[in-house]
Amino acid sequence: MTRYAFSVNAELCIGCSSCGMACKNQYNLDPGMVWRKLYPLSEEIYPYKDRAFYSLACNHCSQPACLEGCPVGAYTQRDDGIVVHNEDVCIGCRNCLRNCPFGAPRYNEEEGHVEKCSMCWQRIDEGLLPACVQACPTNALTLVDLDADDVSGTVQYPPGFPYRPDVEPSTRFVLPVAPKVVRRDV
Amino acid sequence: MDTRELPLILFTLLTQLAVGLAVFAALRQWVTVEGPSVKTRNEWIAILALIGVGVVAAFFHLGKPLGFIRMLTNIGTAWLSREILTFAIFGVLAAVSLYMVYTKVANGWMLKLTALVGLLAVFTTGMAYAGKAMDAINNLLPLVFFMLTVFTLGPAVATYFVEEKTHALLTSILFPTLLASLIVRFVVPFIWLSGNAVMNATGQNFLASPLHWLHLAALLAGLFFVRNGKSIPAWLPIVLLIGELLGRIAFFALVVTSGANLGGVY
Repeated sequence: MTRYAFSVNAELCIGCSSCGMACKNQYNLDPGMVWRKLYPLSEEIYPYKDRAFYSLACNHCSQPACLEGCPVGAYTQRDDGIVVHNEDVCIGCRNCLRNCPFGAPRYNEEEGHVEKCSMCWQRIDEGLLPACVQACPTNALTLVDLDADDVSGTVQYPPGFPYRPDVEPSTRFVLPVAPKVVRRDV
Repeated sequence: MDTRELPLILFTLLTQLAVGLAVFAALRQWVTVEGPSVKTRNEWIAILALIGVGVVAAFFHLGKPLGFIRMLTNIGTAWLSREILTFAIFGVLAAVSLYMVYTKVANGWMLKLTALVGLLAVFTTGMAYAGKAMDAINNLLPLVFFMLTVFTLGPAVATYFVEEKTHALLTSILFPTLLASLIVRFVVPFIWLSGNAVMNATGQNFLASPLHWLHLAALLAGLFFVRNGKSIPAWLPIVLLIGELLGRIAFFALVVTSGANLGGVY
């Protein structure tokens, strides 16, 4: 079996937002609409001068709260774990916004429906990488197969990310390393 | 506040008022064997009207209102689908009850069944709003809040449809409900303060909000004026209704989602 997931390496991420821009370009998203966004870690979590980021979109959970709560069945889950949202079926009740602990579904006021990251399943089916992964210049954002790849060095619930084992988010994280502090003897 | 939530505020409040009226109409039949009267008919007309206005209001929160009919698709897992179904059944039963009251064949069991289905519908609403994105209310609190609204507005507004002598029965229920509601709604935001960052932010939002305190003030006023246990002033149900409206706006506007704190400490 294949179980696709995003892997976010906060040590490699430089906060360039290429991932989010690539996503917007790929789907020609409306102004103001974002499916992937960069979240800087707060000072309480990463108290250093250089900043650290999580690039986050839909986490394609194993037990998706959006799918469970959608009254019209607009969400489906593929065998490879990707949670797909059908905008044509969606009636814009926004119940998924109340249910997703990660704020992934976004409401499109103009269209009257919800939208979210599809993990570019059409690209994956063609043997391509998701647009955000392909665009990342530092390889901070990668696509992994949780059933086949070694993800032992990653974390599922890092600081700055909700601890929600009830929905089992698939995204894995590599934590930022504290910068080396060099002190000069006075 | 997100104005897109206004239809849901109206829907939840009006339908809960309708359920409250139905519950106390059935209760009066049960306790006092109150026969069909013109005022009882008016009460069931009001119940139907409230359900109708609430449902119409609910349409306006949908991005695609014409897709409303598909909301029963995911009844297996979605509490929202179950909510729509139970309220539809409640509406039909309320219409049958009105017909029976009109034709003077009012059947106590029918009224009790309608009230029971109404309470079941409020239960589904409570579950539907226990959203997993909102740590503060991802529990039984929405159900508790909504039931308190049912048992506050039901006996209060029912006073418009009953004779003065029945007020004592209604105040005997309204007083403890108001007391319980006041205690629960006062204490809960402080409990939220002891939770994680998202719950704490929700608690702080409530404690800093005039909506919350005005809601509590309305409950306190109710408690003060029904304490003698005999009658309910005609203006009090309106004050309580406004209080519940403000509380409901606070419920929809002030609860923080966990997704709003990504990158921060949880």
